[in-house]
Amino acid sequence: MTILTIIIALIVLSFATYYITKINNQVGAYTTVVVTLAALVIFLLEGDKLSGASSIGILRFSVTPLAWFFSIIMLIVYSMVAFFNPYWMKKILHPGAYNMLFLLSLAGTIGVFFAENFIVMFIFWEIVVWASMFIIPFGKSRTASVVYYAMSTFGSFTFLYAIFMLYANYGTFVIKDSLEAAKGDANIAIAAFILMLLAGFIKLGIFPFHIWLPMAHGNAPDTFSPILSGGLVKLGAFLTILITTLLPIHEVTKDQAYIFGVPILIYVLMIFGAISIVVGTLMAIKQDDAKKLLAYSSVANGGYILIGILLYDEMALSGALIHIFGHAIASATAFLTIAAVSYRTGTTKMSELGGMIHKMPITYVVYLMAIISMAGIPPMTGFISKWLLFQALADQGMFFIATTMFFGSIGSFLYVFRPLSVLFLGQLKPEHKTVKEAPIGMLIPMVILSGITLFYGVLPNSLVEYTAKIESALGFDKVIETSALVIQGNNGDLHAPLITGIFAFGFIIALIIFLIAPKSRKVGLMDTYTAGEFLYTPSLYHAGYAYYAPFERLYQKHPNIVALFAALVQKVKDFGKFIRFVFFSRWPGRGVMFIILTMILLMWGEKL
Amino acid sequence: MIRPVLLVVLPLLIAFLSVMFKKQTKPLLLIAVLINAVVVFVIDKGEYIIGNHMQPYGIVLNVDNYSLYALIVLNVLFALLVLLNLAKITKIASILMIALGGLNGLLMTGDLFNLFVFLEISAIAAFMIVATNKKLIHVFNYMIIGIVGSVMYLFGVILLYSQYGTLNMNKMAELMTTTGTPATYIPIIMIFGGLAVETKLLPFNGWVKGVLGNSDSLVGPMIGSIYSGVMLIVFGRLFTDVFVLNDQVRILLSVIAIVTLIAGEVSAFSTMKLREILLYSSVAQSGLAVLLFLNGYGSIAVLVVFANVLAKFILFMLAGVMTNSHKKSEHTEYEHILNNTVDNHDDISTLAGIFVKNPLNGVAFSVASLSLASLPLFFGFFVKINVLYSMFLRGDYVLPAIILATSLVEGAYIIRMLVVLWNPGKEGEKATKEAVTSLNYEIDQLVCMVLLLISLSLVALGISPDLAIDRADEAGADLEYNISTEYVELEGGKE
Amino acid sequence: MTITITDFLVAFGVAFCGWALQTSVSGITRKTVARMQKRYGPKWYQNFRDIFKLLNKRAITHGWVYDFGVIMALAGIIGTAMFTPVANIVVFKGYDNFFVFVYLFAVGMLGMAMSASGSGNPLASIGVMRALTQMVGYEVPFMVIVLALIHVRDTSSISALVDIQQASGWNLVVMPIGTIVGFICLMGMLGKKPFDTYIAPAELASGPMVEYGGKQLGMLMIMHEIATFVEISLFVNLFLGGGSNILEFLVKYFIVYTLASYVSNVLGRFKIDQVVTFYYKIPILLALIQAGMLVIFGWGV
Repeated sequence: MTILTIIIALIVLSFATYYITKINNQVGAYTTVVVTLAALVIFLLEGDKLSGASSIGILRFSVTPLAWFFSIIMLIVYSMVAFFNPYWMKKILHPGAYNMLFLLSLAGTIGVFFAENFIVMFIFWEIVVWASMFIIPFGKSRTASVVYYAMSTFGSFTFLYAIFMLYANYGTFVIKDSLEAAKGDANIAIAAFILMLLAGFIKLGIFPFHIWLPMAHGNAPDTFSPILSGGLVKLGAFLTILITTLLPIHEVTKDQAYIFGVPILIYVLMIFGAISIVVGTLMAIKQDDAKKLLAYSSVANGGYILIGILLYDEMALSGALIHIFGHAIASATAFLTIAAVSYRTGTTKMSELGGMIHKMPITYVVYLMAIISMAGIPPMTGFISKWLLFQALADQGMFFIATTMFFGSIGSFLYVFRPLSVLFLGQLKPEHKTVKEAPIGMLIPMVILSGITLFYGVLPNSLVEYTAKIESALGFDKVIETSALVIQGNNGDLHAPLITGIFAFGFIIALIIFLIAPKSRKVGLMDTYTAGEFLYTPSLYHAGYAYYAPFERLYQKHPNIVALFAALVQKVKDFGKFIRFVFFSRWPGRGVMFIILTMILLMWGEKL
Repeated sequence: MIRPVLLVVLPLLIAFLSVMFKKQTKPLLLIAVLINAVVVFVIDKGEYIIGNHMQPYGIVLNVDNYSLYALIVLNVLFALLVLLNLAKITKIASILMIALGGLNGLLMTGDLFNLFVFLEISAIAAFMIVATNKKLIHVFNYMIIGIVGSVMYLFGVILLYSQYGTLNMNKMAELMTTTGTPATYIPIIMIFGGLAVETKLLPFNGWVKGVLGNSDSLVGPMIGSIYSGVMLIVFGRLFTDVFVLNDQVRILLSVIAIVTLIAGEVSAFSTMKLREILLYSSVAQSGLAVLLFLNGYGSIAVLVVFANVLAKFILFMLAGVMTNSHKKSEHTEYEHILNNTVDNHDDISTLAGIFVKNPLNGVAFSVASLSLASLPLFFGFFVKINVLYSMFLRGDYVLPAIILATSLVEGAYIIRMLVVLWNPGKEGEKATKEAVTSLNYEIDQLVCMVLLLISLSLVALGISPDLAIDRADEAGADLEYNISTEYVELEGGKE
Repeated sequence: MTITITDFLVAFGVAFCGWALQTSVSGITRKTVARMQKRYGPKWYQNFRDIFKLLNKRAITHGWVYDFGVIMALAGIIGTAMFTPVANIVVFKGYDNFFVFVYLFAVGMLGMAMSASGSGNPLASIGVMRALTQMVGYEVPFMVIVLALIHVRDTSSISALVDIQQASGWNLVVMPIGTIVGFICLMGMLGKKPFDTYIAPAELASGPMVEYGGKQLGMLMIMHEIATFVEISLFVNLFLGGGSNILEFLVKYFIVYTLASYVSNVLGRFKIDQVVTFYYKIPILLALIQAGMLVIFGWGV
């Protein structure tokens, strides 16, 4: 099985799915499920036996552990989300196009990961952009798609400029060779690094390029948001890892001043990551729409990932890779639960919902496990990555960046808890009394994803060992060490199964106490303490609107960066209007006047 | 052994015949167009002397790879355009013949004054073709500016004749290289100005908005795609094969091209009217092609022109049809033609979601637009990659930045246009069938299929561009001062 | 090192004794505070009686989340307590990482929050909201100080930090500013005035606890006691040098808890936004200065 055959098969199948969907929506949607599952199974079975041997002209692929890791994450997310597609076919205006672009974007991401040279990577990068860009407007916003395209393309173009700049100086497009050759000249290397990093920044959603994330992820169709947030932003992380480790940037910037143990350029870039964490967290706390909240949480998590990658320390990179894995799965799961709720109730605004646990208990448990992972609480995968990242920061002593990371970490408790409390718990609204649990086709993938998160939180060693393999493939001298069940860090060890074991032990003790004590009597939801008042409307009893109002008030008057970009766009439009007004009129006199003036200027200019 | 002069003479002859046989204009037109489209594939390359007057005294027709490929594209597209607009061509069949003859002559001629003659013929035919859309003030504007341009060109030719004593292009090229830098470049600037009118450079292009902004499915592709392409090829021939510029003049003229590029993209970004977006995009692409020709990237410029011609053909034709949409309950198109009224729905938001009702047209339109926005899997992507590749190979770092910046703006407005046309609905609301516009238009099945085929060719070239790139390489090899000889393509690409 | 079931049982013993210790200490403190307020106060074993009574009372339940959350909260806290090193009884040497503490704590907090919101009473939700907001306030300066400490001592295991302090001096002396910040954050963690905003007895009807009774309330009281035990021991271990033997540890423990209680008894209550604003003015500044002193300049190491 070669990568080229897989990608070509995916592209051909995507077009085939378009036609199948035209015949029958449901069959087309199930085709996407089958195709993505098949791809996942092939990747899992082939493992190292996948080869990049076959190629067409410049389309050449190379198989690396990093690429395999990212592809597996992508495939898990895509295949699990695909289970939701059949239920959404009747809600989307262009079902055929949706299924086709779904598979086409998957083909694009696999192409990006396994690309051997920059041209191939760029081709597939752009394919991902335009495939996903056309799905977004099927949801709630048309402008979101244009903003997504414009910002993403800005990054792509700086990336392209850097690719050609490296080619002009070193004569090769091959990723490994090109980047290694760049080590020779620090200026070119740093320029290329920053230009390419911009593409990674924008894709990952780092401040100040984060504004497209909430617009696109929040407004995309409910089944595509998990792919955007859990999957496609990780392309930015992939690019960042490649250029940070293959240059490697720490060697190139050796001669700069060092601050907290890293060159100053790296520290400045890490500050951007830190700001994203703070901005993402604060904005997420404010949101009423569950999807926008999760989108801002992706911004914050992008910050963690970026800091982990830029530190170039074996614990930090391992932490970043596990965080990518954990966040992809947890974020996809959270989005899927919101999609399930939206499927049954028709809305994602938290203030309009409440008490969903009584009707959708399994969805609730899935969401709970997802947010435990996102908040970084054991025994889920999120804890492992946070632990590794904190250890790495403590090792370096970067307390300013650590402050923001702690803030983001604790702040994440706030925003992940909000949908739990407002949407799932609390009082059930009367109009939702007939809501049923999500259909079985939706429950299966959600439970599988939760299971994965739990498994790797309790037994993370296989995951950590794979990150060690990736690190050595990327040229690290020292890789993260694990032994049996323990992860060894620089200043402490982590015994994940022990923590789970202790928690389970405590759980048993608490359960024993609970069961020994006398049984409680069940009462209805409205039967609560009201200091003597009688209330009959559940909605008055539900604390849902502006949940964190006191905290939000503290930063109400924050500067708005969206306004900055909107002003920039408006200036371009005004410039265009001005040109149209001056030069393009229907009176021949004006045209002739301009011709004469220009000719005079040209002739005078020639004489100078 | 078919002489290329046939391509010019045959249409002109049939044009005169059609004046006499008024009833049979349409069939005559069809015969002429089809014969041209077939003959162009079998003519031989070489130099043809007209009327037995030897060079450099007589007129010469120059058919090398560069002209041949342009001729093929011109004749085939012209034939297609005529076949797809059978209803509209009855009145102007003779004019179309003259246009065809003039355009063919423009591409083949090897004599500067002959070029002027053909330029005038094509221009006058263009004026009359544009006049079919009844917006006479714009035609008038076009006429005045066009004539000013032609006069400037003639003036430049006269000065050159007095300087070098010959009008033959080959001889002129030879003399320019051997006699060193001339005292003044004014004639060349004059010729540049004259051609700048037709190739839509700023600020010579005041006419474009009126003409193309009110175009229908005949005028639009004709002026926006066919004429545009031919004029750019002619420009390329003159400025990359014949004239020798010094660096200062080159920079001056390049500034005009860059200004055009930027102004075109920015203007397109600021408007929400369908045809205006397309015409400003054409202006910008012309600026890009002129910039490439001036700086010696001949073969790449040919690629740019080719991609633009194909894409704009589809886009202008569809735009012309779409802007004649009407509500189902209103008059049909026949009543429009009878009553001489035209409902012009140009704004994109009134056409929101129209592709939901016309998916095949939507696919053709989308493919052409995405090729224009240079996204991969479409031909425009490889064109842009090669533009940047050539520039970086030559060590140019500023121009690529400008081209990428304008490309970003271009992509933004194209995507904005596409997204609205496919997905209706206010901001904040889901795209639903109910929000789709109630306007719709009628389009011939044949037109639909042909446009789809052309767009599929853009996809095929996008996946395997080697066919086009090799031809462009051969064409560029015929240009004297072409410097771009390496390309990024699928097979045997250079890394 | 291999972990056996005896380790678990010993650790559980530590947790149980910790609970017993804290309940007694809090009882004694109630008595001394009452004397300060010129009244007699309850007996020192009053808290034991309360818990026992509650566990024997029959109460209501609002659903499975309500019950499950309480169990989860208690489970998390017991788990945290089992990791705590007390003097020279360190069961899981090398695995008692500081970050494990922080996050296992969060399990408990999440369980309680879940259960409170699941009760359906908006006052509980408001209380939980305040509790989470307060967490943002007190956790960040505390973690910054400890991060700096981990960096200079090159270990994040609590027991190892204790050993280092036994050898080279208490952190109270090495980083006095840090200790003060730690104490302020400890007050926030304990939920003692002025930081008892999330309970706010007269304002929110006890916030999250409004719907609890019977065994759930009893279990939450147990949880509260064990949580206090863990937090105070953490403070003692990190800043006061732990204890080379039990007696030393108990003395330090008693002093810290009493000091915290006495301070809180003379202060009023903050509003929730005042809590956050307070923590992000002086404590964070002091924490950053202290961290700078330790990491950049290496004073006191």
